[in-house]
Amino acid sequence: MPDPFPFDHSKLSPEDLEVLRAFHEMEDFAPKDTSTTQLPEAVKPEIGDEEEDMLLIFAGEADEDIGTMREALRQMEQDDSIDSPGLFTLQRRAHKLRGAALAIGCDSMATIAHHIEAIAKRVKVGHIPYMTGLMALVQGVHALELTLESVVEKEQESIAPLLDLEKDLEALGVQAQEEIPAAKSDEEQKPTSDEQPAEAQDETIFPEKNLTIMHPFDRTRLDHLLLHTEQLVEQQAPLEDAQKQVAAALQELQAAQARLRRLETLFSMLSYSGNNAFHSQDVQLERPPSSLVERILRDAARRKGRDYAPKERATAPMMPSAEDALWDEMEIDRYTETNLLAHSLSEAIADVSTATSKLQQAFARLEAVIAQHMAKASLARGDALALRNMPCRRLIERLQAAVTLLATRLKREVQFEFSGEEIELDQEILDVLAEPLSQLVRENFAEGVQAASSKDDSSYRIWLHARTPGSEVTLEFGFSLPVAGGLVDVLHSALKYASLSVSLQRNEEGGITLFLRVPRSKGVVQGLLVRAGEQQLIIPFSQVRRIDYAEPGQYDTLYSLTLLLNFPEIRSGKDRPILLLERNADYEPQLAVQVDEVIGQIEIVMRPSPNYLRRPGIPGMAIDGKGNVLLVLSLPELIKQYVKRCQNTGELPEVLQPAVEEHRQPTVMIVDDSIFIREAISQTLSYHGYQVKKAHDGLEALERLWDEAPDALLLDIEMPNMNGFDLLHVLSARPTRPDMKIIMLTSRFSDKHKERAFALGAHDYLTKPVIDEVLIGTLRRLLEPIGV
Amino acid sequence: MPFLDDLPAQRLQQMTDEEFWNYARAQASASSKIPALHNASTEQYLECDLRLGTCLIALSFIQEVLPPPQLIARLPQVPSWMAGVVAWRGEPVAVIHLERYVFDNDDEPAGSSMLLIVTCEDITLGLLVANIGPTMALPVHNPEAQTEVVRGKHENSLILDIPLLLVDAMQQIEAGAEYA
Repeated sequence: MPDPFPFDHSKLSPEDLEVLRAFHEMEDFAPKDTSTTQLPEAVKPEIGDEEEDMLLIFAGEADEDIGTMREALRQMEQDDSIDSPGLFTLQRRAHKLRGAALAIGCDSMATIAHHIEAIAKRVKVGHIPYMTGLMALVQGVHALELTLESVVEKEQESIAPLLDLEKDLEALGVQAQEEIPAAKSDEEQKPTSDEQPAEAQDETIFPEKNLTIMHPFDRTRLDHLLLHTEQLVEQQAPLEDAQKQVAAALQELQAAQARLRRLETLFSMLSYSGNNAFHSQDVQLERPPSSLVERILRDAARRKGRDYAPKERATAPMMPSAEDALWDEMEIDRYTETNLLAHSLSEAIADVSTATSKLQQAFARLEAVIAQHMAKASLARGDALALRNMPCRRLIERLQAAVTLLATRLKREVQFEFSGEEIELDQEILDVLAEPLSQLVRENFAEGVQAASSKDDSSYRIWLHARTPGSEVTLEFGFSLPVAGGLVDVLHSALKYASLSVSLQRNEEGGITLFLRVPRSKGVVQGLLVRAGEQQLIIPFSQVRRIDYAEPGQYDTLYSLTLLLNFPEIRSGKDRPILLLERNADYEPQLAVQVDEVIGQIEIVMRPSPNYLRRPGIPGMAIDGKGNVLLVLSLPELIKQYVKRCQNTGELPEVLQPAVEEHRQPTVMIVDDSIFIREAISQTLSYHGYQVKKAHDGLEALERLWDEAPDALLLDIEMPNMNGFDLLHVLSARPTRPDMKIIMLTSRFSDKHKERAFALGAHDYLTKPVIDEVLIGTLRRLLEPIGV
Repeated sequence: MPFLDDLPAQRLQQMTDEEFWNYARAQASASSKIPALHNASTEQYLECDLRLGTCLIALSFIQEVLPPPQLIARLPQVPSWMAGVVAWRGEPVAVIHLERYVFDNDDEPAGSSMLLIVTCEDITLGLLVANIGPTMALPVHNPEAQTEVVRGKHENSLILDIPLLLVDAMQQIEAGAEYA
């Protein structure tokens, strides 16, 4: 009997071909020449009796996804714009459904879902007219519904809806796929906005490239001004040193003056005794002027082994004769040369005293002027730095506009609450944050609303609260409902550029809240001045929670700073301070770093390092008042780099206090938003002797990661709240278990996704549907070297 | 100034401050009229002592000669010949042990008593040397054909090509970050 629906391979996309290839490789999928094989009208999914429950789970989940898609279509009809959040929702839901359908063997549903995803993408970039695309998407969702019905009612997947859909698409002139160039698909060449590679995202938000800078003056000049005012402030230390030197010299002068006064007294006595001798004509021996001098001379002679004998002195050549002295015709005072010398000495000493006194007064004035100068230099620096700052109102206004626009489009009530609008932040940081935060509202929050809208009609809330705990500003950005994953990924470039840290937490309303920690001013760093070996380094306060001097043993992981910096380790004493690192969330492990000494605290302008001196974990350098270069450290980044180095060399990281581990079964955590995938993989792993943990999104995985300490993560990419890339970002910034292996398990198979995952620290990359042997083999290969 | 020539030390002692400074100014003025030691065909070089030999550095690249600072900030993931970073005129500058760099040995370098700040175009580096010696004039070098940092010898001293040295050192330091 001829095939009523001949299957044309040329119409298949590379993704479809890849899926078919994967199925062909499966043992239970007999390899066939599909070009000659007639596909039956209805295909029964490869479902065994024991997997009936799995089918029910899949059907329930697929039904929910289709419901959300219907809601998204309604939204698209109302919006009539390619900016409609409905497109984004359709794309994501179709992608999710495709992964689950492939895994259970419903390849017809997977193909329809893939068509929907591709059409949504093409409508978004304007390759398909909006209304045509909308009609095609309606047909696609309808085809999905019909196919799901056949699966549920007949336990057989009907292929007819797919074939009808393809005919409809042809009639509409809609090609689900782009023309595929030989080397790369358009999808890879022209990433859509939500799939932009990091470099492209950098271009959109990297301020030096195309951000609108609000400075009404040349930014280079502002930088010069900041540099020069900082140099003014840096003069404080040399000025203080010079002051100390002058003060010491002044003290020496005063001591010398006191000695002169004593000599003056002695000299007067000598002069007096000389005169007496002269008058008594008994000037034969030069006696020491005092018993003290005599004792000194005697001691000196004794030390040299000689007897002390006062020397005879020749008659002073200027001394008047006895007759002259006796005869006083005018009866006026007569002065001998000794008298005159004594007088001159007295006058000179008086002059020195006066000069010293004037010097003291001048020095006191100088000290006051220097103090005043330093205060003014400090003010000038503060003013110059303030030129960079703007109130948070600027960011709030941008977000408010985004929320208003979204509420209008969704025709839903979305409240925006804010506080701390007068708190000032570096203008660059505000600008860098504005776009990604708006994008979170436009896309991630919008999808959350789409998903929730099918269930209830309640209103939603978004809030931004700026607070100033200490030297930083914390921005709390919250959503009152679960949102689409990818939050950290969207913020990644901004975080990297502005050296910000972010944490995610579930809030009481069941939604998700981001906490961004932002330095008040980009240039100034306030932190601890510590010593590692012989070197002084700066650790910003924002990274340190507490300084501890207790014995190592109460921390999850304790590293040595010299080791992190790859400096020679010099063990110096037992009671070295331990810095407990700030945790972004309660579920994170308590990391600690031991240093040799905490010298004190410092506030200094951080300069970016010249390109050739840039190192990961050292975001900048500062120059202190003595002209010494101080490295400014990012401890989390240093730990991350250290762990990475160890992974590259195959060594276990050397930690002073490793996390306590007990011998246990190999544990794998499956992180996937699809219940079906979680259950299916779980069964396979359990069968092969693995202990299995399950998490429905990246955030849940992160919350449980440390306590449950899995040996491996099987990580999906697309999930709500925190997607796979988000989790990789967070784990790479805050490594929990350095030896934990991360295997991506996703239906995304393009090179760009793989490269991104590996760049963020994934150890392997598998695509759905995965063959059991491949999955188990990968786990064994990765876990064996670490003895699991 | 009648006492400029063959001025006896005794006369120098008897000078008032004003006379002394007049004398000093006259001497400085006179020395500036001395014809240059080098001409267009020669270039002045500074001899620098290293433990394993001496080298010559063209004076035209030397910005300043300083005693080495007490503290040099170490940087991770750098070649073994890089001592660290110091501040020069308010900017961080890499400092290298010239002996380690030139002779490619990892021995502890001899005590360095001088830091030479050298610049070519927009690259500035500090070179630590054991000591500095006299200057000497050598024929002008044609830089175009140069590919080696040590571009020759004069008697027993190595003649260094500073532009090449700066570029090579900077590239190697930068590469260190990639291996980090």
